[in-house]
Amino acid sequence: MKANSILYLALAATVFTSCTKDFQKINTNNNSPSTTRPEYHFTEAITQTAYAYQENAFDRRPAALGRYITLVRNNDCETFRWTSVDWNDIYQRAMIIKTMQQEAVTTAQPVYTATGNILLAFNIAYLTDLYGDVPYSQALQSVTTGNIKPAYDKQQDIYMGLLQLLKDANEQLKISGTGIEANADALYAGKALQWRKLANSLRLRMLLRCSKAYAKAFTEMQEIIDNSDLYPIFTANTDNAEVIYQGVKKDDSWPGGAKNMIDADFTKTKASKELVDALIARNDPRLAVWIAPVATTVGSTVDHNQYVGVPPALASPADYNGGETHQSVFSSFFRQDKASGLKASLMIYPEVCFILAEAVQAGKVTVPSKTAASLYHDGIEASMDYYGVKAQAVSQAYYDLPLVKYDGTQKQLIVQKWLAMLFRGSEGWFDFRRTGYPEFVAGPASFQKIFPVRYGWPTSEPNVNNDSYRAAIAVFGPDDINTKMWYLK
Amino acid sequence: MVTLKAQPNSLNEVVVTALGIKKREKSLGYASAQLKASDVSNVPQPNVLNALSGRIAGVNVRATGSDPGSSVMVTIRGQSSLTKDNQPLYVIDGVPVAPALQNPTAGIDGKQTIDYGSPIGDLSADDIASITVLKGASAAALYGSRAGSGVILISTKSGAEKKGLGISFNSTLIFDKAYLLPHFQNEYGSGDSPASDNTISTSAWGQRLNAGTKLVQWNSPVDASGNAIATDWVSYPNRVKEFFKTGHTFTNNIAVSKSGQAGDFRISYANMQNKGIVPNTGIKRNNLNFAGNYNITKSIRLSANLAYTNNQSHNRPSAYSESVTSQVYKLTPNININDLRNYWVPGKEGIKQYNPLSSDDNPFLIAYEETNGFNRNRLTGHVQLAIDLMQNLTLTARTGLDYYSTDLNEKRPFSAKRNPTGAYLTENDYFKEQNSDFLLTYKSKTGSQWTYSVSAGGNQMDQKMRSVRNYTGTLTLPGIYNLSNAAAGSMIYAEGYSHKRINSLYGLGEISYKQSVFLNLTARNDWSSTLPPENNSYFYPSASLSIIASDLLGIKWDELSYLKLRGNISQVGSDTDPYQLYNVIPFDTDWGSVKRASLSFDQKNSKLKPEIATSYETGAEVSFFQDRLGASFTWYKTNNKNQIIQVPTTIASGASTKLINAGNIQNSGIELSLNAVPFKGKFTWKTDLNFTRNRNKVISLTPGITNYLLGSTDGSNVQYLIREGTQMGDFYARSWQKVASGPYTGQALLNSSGLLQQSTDFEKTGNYNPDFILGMNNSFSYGPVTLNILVDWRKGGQYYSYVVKSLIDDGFLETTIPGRDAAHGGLSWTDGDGVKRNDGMILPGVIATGDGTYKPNNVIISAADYYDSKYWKYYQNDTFSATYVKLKEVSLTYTLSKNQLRRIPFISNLSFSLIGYNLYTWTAANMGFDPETTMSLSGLRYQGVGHWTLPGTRSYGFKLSCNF
Repeated sequence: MKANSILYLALAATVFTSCTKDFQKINTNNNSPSTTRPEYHFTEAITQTAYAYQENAFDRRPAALGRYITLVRNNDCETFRWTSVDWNDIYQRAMIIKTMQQEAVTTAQPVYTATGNILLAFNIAYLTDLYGDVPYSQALQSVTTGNIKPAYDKQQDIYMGLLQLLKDANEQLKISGTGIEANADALYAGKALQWRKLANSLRLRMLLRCSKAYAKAFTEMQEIIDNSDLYPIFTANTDNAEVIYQGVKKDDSWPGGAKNMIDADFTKTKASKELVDALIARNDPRLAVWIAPVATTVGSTVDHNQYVGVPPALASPADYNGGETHQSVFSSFFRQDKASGLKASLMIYPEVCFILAEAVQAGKVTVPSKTAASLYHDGIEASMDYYGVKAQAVSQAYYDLPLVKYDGTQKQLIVQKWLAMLFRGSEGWFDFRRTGYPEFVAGPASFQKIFPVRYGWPTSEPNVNNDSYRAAIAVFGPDDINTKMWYLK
Repeated sequence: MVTLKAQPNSLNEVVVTALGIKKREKSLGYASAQLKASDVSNVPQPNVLNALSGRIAGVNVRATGSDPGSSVMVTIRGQSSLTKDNQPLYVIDGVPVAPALQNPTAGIDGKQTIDYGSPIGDLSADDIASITVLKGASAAALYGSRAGSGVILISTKSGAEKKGLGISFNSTLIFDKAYLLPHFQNEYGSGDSPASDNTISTSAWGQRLNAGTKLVQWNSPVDASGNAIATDWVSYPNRVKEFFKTGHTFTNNIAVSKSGQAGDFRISYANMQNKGIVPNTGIKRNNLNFAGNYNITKSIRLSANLAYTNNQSHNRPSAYSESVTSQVYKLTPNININDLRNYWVPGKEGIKQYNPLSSDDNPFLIAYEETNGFNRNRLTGHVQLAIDLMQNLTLTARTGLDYYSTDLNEKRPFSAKRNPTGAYLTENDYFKEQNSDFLLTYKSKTGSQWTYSVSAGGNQMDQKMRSVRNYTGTLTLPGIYNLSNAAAGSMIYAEGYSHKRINSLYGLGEISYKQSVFLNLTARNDWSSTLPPENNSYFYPSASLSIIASDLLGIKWDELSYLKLRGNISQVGSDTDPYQLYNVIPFDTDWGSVKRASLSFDQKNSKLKPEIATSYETGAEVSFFQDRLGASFTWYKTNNKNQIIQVPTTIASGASTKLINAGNIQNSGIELSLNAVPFKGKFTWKTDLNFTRNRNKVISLTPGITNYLLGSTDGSNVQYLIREGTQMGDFYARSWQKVASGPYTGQALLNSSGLLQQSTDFEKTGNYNPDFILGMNNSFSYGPVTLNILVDWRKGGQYYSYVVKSLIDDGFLETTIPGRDAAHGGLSWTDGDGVKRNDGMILPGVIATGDGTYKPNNVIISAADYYDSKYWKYYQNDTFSATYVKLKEVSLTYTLSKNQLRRIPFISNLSFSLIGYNLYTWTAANMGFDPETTMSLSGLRYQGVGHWTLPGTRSYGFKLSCNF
């Protein structure tokens, strides 16, 4: 072989190996698209928000802190042996919503920007209600500005921002509410009016919550009440913001069903003494719907009722009242993967009634042709209706019972609201935080005597966002479960 | 006139190096180590990588599980990458093969984890001719990107080793027995407290056993009126041992080879049948290998290798949460495991399981019905053509393929805890890697003082992967594991495909002076499809020098056989995985019949740059008395810079990780080997010692990030943090509050209830890397009998045991006996419910009095609360030393002499051995766990959590080898 051949070989080699023209095609990820339609993110945002919010309400801290459930094993939640709680899922949903809004601009579907803002406000409001100060104005910018160390905003600023966001969304949907894909809208099947009702009802919730610290809260509430055309709100259970459960896969089934909860976990979740006693004292028709009777009353040591709730944070809760066969778990209604009465609720009509009732009772607003007593009655009746015992409540003369008959006190009102808010978000805990009602008492094995008022920021924050975290502590106060946030001070 | 001494054999030993180039030991400027065929096949283990353990300095081998099919982690010279698996590149007969370590996958129930083994475990030990370990960037500079953590070159046997026709047959039978178990207590039975009569509790804080009492238990018979009858309250100390069976592995290998003038070939077939220690588990493997060389003409040589392997199991044991081990370990001492063998409720077979505690699956149900099976077919091979173009000019062209296809299936029956209506998963994974390369080599004429050789070549690597996964979490009818039986709308689908290509050009050269000084230079440039166009080319050179000082300086000292000095500087560049440049928007599962899209919260980076590792190495080798005493010493330092890492960010920014180039991780250390033949003759004793000490340091991360959270476990309570100035492998946890100043400084500060309180800061709790590794191999032979003993000593490092924490918290270990009653030191007290008890204990520490001073704690708490307070949240108390000494391999072989063989026709060689491996483990912690197999494997990036894995197992048996 001659030197020429070698040269040709070398040349061929160079050409063959330095060829990179296919590289871009090879490194293109065709497993998923690089852009998608806002409808797909819309369904994702709605279902994930609703399901996560409901799961929290049913079997996590909110249910324990709201004194609905008492765990007889692994009861760290109610002995207050925790501080930091992760917030990944909330920010992930917020990012999905924000991405959806960018897609809506590209596809020229502004209706998703407006509904997206309502969902965003719902998620961020929940976030700040749980933690206090959180990143908001600088958040979600890793792709746009590249800011991976967002500063924490003060809760006051966040609340003002969200209230405005909801007000504007209501406005935009009024101007142009068509175009919401009905199939993709797991909340309201495309009806813009319903979204507006949700936006304004959420404003009512937020305004009441911050009313102690925000001077104009009740003025804004009055404005909403006075202009039902401009600011429609929930007026019946048909307006409820709820997502159904499909009951087919784990992630679309009710959190208490067999797909999501093993037997041991369902049986260790007992009804709380506070709940059961309140229901028994009122002969409440919802008792039989919600609670399962004990296996046997023979052998009960301290509580001989057919339905027995367990007090919080006992040293050996499993032995209370002579053992678990003498304690009530929740009824089989809550053990299904899906049912027509089981939905993931963001907000329901009874809550609106009680919000208005409390505001009127305090003399801060007036509702045309309604009094505090009638609103209070509406709230209870709507809750009874929700659980299918409306007629029974009437036939039992529930509303005439001394405990139930309206007496003008905030305590009585909040207790009824607490009952209606069973497994509805963290409202039970949040109202207790705000008003001190119902009068919960920490159990003997609790790590501290007072109820926590917030979640601690996630353990990862000092590692990944330290400067902002330290700055937030300097403004907000120590990162523990007792530091009061802006509207609780 | 200077007469050159006859060179000792070891210097002239041929070592297979990068690209299959054979070099003599003397010319290597870097540390390499080679295992002979007998090292691997003497005590043949199902996964051949286990043979590396304790034999080679610088190499840290860890079997991730004690069952034969589990993956083996090999770390050479420390972990250098924050995101990659830090495993070496495996090359079989010159062809790089599939990534060796696969992530154990979470089972379809979302809790159990299954290790389906790694493709490198498909090799049969009797087919291996040699294993060369190229340890540093130096030796691996020619393999590029994937060789950053070293290269393991495996050569299989060819027909050329023996002239004429040869047939060899090997048969091995090994028994596996579980022996290393936690120290369970057998004195107290199920219950929440000593007075409790809740005999189906999941804790073991209950009444004393074997005291003649009778209680109503989970399996009490029922009398005529339907009341349960109290039965003897006794313990069953063998309940865990009786669950595990004696496993066995039976391997047979037959090979035929022939060599002659025109070429040679070898064909071998190996069959392995294994039954595991967990009932209903096992592996079957069949290997068919062909290797052939054919001289088409004197100057054109063709060679081909083809290996087909089928590796399958109908059930692999699971590990971690809710696995078989966790269910068996958590049986309270009053449970007789044999009462659980019938795991279906009579009359409800296939529908409802029988178990005493409804919160856990019956371990026999898990073993027999919750199966995880796989079937892998693999084809590896290459075809090579070598042409002598001119007298000193050779062109080699080769193309090699590694292809495998794995089918997985997982089944869960009705009434399984996590899948009450059953579940079924099937997955198909395909992998194909094709390497085509050529090398043109010119060698100068031998005989003169200066000789040299120069080569130039190129390589194209093309890698494709595809995975299709279909599963359902709900079956319609029980026992039918077919996708058509999925409940309507419950099917979940996933599919992924990836493609990667690297084109390379490289050159090598060697210059030698007087066959005593060797200088080797290499240069390589890669173009990778995974990096952006402006940064996809990277160049990395290396230089190594080897000086046979004894020859060069003319040292004429009879006792000294040789003294070699070596040094090396090299770089290795590295790319990343496919699709790291731009984010895509994946679909989520359907909601009913509505489509949903999600997001990826790992932000990609379109401006990535390649990684570069730079390493320095120097060392010396010396040999005395004709190779009867030798030592080898190496010092190395490697810096891995510009790593492509996923830096965690706050999810509040909209992404939980961001991909950047950052980091400078340094590994430095020493490797020392000693070998000696103290006795040679009728009685021969050879000993080899090798010592490895690696120090890892995080030099820097990136400006603005000084803390990098690699991962966390146990609900974020144990964090694997990378901090500048510390080492990789550190893990942190919150400790208990302590008094800061005054007379009680350092003592635990308890709350008013006498319990420990958690501090807010995370402090370093341990590091899972060993301080050093020492392997000792001794071989004694007397006549036809040879005894080989290999001992592996790993000192240092810690592991946090989630298993210990869980078992102590429920009172299962002997650790929890003190204080349980008056006889064991328990104090008498009255509890919050007014009950008088004898199980009081006081935590050591002080309580704040409220006026700034402290008083010693005097609050009596129950024993259960004492142990819970101490061990549940304070991981420092659950962290143990990972030091161990293992009797790794023992073999006693009797080889028939030539005289004896003369009487047996046809047979040219016959030997019989008693063999054993992992026969005994001594652990510093003495908790009943093997630190090697108890640590979990998390995302391949960090270890250190002692999780529910199979108990430590010892294996022993015999082997028969013969040649015809």
